[in-house]
Amino acid sequence: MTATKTRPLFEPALVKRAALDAVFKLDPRRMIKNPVMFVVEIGAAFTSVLFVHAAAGGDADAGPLFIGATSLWLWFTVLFANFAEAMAEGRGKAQADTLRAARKDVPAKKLVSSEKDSGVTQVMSASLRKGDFVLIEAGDLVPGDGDVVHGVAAVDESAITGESAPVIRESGGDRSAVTGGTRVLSDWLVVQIAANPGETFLDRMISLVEGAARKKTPNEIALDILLAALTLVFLTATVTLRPMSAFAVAVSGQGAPVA
Amino acid sequence: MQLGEVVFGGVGSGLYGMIFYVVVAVFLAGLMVGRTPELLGKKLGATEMKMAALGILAPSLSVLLGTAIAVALPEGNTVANPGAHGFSEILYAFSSASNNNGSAFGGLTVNATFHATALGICMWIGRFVPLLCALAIAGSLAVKKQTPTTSSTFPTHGTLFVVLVTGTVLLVGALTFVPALALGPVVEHLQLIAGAAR
Repeated sequence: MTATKTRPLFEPALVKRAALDAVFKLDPRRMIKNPVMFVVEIGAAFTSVLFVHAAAGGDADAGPLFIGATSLWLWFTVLFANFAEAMAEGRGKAQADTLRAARKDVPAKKLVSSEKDSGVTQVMSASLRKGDFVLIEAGDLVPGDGDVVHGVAAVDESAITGESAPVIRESGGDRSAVTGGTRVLSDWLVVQIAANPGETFLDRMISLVEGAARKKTPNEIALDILLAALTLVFLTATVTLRPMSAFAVAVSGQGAPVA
Repeated sequence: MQLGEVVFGGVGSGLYGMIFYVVVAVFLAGLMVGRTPELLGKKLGATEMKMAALGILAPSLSVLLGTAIAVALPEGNTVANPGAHGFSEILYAFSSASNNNGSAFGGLTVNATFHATALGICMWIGRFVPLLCALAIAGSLAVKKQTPTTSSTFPTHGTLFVVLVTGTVLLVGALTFVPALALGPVVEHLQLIAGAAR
């Protein structure tokens, strides 16, 4: 990756964006993707309604202040979870913006055919398409992702991999792929472009960092299962409390059922 | 009993109950430090977690739901000693049916149709669902490749592990049953103290 300075944890601009985002994320359509937090949100909404009902003088299981405090705690839990998620996403977006800056439009020497000596036309890298041949000489930036067809060269890939030592790229074998944005340090290469603009390695990295379409990791799935199981236990214990306490009240003749 | 029969091997089946808690505890430990959890060299995945969670949940849920249904229906209310003790009787009957040997207090008429059926179903769920889950975990772990122990593997014989598993067992048990216990044995105890003090 491009060497980014480590950001301070609570950069003010990020925190402000995250706080605002935390409230927007309360939208049920977004919360439903995380079932456990969704259950907490429903609980928070439910207790808020109960609080209003109790405060307005209706009969309640406990003092309105207690219900109000409970509902505040639940809302705080949901908001904090959203805030943490928004902070993480904000930092990812900031990193994606840095990566985007590395994606420059550079001049490229397009070849008519795969021979080094066929005619060279100067074009911009954005106009290169899959299948085009380009000549890259010492000191040039590689204009796009591709495979080496002719030549051997030392390439500085620190913009992509962070590796400061140059690597050798040559045709044939498993070291023939070059990435756009790296620099050729010596000799020359004839490269066949393998990706259209918008589908390059850098673009995929940016979309990955932005979290556009990410599948859940196996650990995340397993953790969700565990949390869902514990939530189920908690829900059952709470729901079965109602009939149990109604029974207890009926047989002891005092007190009021707790829900 | 309600802890899942993991203390000193309830009626010959405590070990696989304990294995479920061990899986959950190792999973929690692994996630807290950010490693893929592994037990005895085999990586634990979503399947193992599903089976372990189901194995822990099934008896607990059958106790809670069974007790709730029993106290809600008039047929279920066959206690001879009313009050908090009666509730304890029903709770005990279902706990024992799901987790232990199906005994019950003397004051509860369990010969009645409702109780005979309900306790029977609880026994069936409480015994066979964890069995199947344990077999599923065994099968899925058996085909996995064993990763060699490195210095960063979580030791399953250290004090930290013991504390973690004990904590998990107690926590899950408490989470499930404290409300029900509060209404039964605890209330009875408090009533006794209050009665004796008067």
